Amino acid sequence: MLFNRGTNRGGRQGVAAPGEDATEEARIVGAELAAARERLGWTLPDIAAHLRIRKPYLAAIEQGQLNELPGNAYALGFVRTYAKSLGLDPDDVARRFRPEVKQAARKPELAFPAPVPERGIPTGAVVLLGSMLCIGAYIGWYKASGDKPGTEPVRAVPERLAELAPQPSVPTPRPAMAETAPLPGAPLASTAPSAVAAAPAPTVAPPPASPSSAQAALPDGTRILLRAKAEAWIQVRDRQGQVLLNRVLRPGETWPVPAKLQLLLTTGNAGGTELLVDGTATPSLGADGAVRRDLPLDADAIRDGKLTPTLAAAPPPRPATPAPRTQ
Amino acid sequence: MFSRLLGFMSADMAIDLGTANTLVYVKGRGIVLDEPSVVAIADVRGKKQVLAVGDEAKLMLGRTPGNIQAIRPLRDGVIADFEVAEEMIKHFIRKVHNRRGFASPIIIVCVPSGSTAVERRAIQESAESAGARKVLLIEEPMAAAIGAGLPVTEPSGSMVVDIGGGTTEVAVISLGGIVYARSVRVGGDKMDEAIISYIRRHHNLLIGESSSERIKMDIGAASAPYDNDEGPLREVKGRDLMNGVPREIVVSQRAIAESLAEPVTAIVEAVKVALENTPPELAADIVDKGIVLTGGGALLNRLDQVLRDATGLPVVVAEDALQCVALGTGRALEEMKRLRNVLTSMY
Repeated sequence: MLFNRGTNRGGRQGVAAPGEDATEEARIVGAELAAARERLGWTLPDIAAHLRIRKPYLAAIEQGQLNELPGNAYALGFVRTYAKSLGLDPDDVARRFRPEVKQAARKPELAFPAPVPERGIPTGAVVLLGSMLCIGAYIGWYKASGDKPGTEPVRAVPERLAELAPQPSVPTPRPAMAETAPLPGAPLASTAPSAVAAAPAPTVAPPPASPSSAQAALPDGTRILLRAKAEAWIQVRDRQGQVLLNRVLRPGETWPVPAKLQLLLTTGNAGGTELLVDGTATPSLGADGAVRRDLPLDADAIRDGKLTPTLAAAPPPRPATPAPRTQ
Repeated sequence: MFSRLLGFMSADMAIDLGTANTLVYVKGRGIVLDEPSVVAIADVRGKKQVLAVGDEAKLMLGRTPGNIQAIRPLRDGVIADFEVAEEMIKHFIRKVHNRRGFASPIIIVCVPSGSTAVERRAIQESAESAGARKVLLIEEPMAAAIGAGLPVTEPSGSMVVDIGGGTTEVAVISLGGIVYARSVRVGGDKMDEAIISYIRRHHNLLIGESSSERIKMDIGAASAPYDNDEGPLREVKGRDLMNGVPREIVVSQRAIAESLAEPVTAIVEAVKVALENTPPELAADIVDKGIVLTGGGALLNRLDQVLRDATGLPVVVAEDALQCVALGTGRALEEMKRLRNVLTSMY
């Protein structure tokens, strides 16, 4: 209330009556009312009985004690009623009384009683916590299961393990550790130590930045580099039927052919398969999509172009398996 | 989304859809429109068209040729003629928006506390089909109390008597809610009718509703003047029932007060019944502060004195008694967040 009074006073700056004069004005109006009442010869209790307004309120009006009165609406109503009963102009009296009343008690602030919020965790926090848990769980699951990405480069089955593999289309990926440093106690490692020594397990190299860099990476003694120009299924095995490579190479992937005699190449996409001998390209193996089977991987023969389709039409003398062609 | 856009372009309104007068309060602008709830409808080649609404239409009331009807779409505080009421609300919305198109405001309409769900739904639907984006309802006595500046949210009883055109609402309000409300279908209209029938009975003169209303506003009083005085006199013109010619007579305030005895008694009774049903603690508050009268009926001379004598309580007439309901509804619109407790919707 004090605050209101202060602001009001500020708002009425320039109007001659700041502060004290406001209640002074109310006192003047009250005195006028009292004078009018006395002129009519009525006492306060008479008026109170007639208007049914409690005597203390009437006395407060006459003395200009605004704080004694109930709310603004009632105080103004009392003043009007009182003025009217005394034969004064109620509007005029109320108008002169009004700013003062407004000052004492402005239009009531309407604050509806609101129910006390229930104790406990607020809903917002629960929702937030729940969603954070969900996100955390998802991230955890993603991390846990994301160790092997979907496009994992498949390592060729090492020679020493090839005989154990039951000829699957895709060799089971082994942990890199088992390849490079076989566990001493593992029976696998003890089966063919000589093979490991003879040919270090070749792995498919990812697409190199440039051919030359791929060449530089060739292991010693390797002359032939198998490179895929388009997606091609490629199988390389030796005469004994041991599979060295059996998978789909993506464009640009290379596979150094180990320096080993009598390897046979079967490709599902002759046009997409390229053989590099000593870093130089060789004639194409066939048309796109053509299937070539059991091509001998012999560096000199390849360089001489003996694997081109025309030559392949008259198959080289090979006792093992006459290549069935399905063109 | 679209309605948001429309809402941006339109001014929200609070409407006191009264039987006699419709007041429109526009958010941020105050009461912008105060017109009689009358619609004049012309019959153009079998098609009904709105001819005039508000003041213009009221002049036509009772003076229309066969092809024009001047209709008051509200009776007893509720909608009696759905389509006409809708036209009227539509007209007011357009008028407030300066005939700008695409107006789709939020509208708060007040309804009598005694109205039934069907009547409320009728009011809400007619406001909706008049183009409102959203319609909220507020009980008339609550709006009147807010508009009169009563401390309705305090834990202290306030009694408000809103005497409108069609209904008189008596309510006891505390803590922002209505403790007890009573609505009687007595108001300004019933007073007009009482004056008409009194003059017909005593002077064999038939007068129109407008004349009757004018007399009521001029010299109407709830009780006879003191000291055997006849009070002020007024001429009233009408049609003589005996020989059928127009005639003018003079009536006194005493006679009018006598004719108004019946509706005034009904109002007093309603107040008394409400007081009987008030819980004792609130009754104690009311003894202290008294009863506040709002609405046009509160301006009837000496009505406060009659109620004072009948109840023994202080009775005061609110400031701007005619506009209290509209001001209260408007305040509910301005402070919609805070006062949402008093707003309802039929859906």
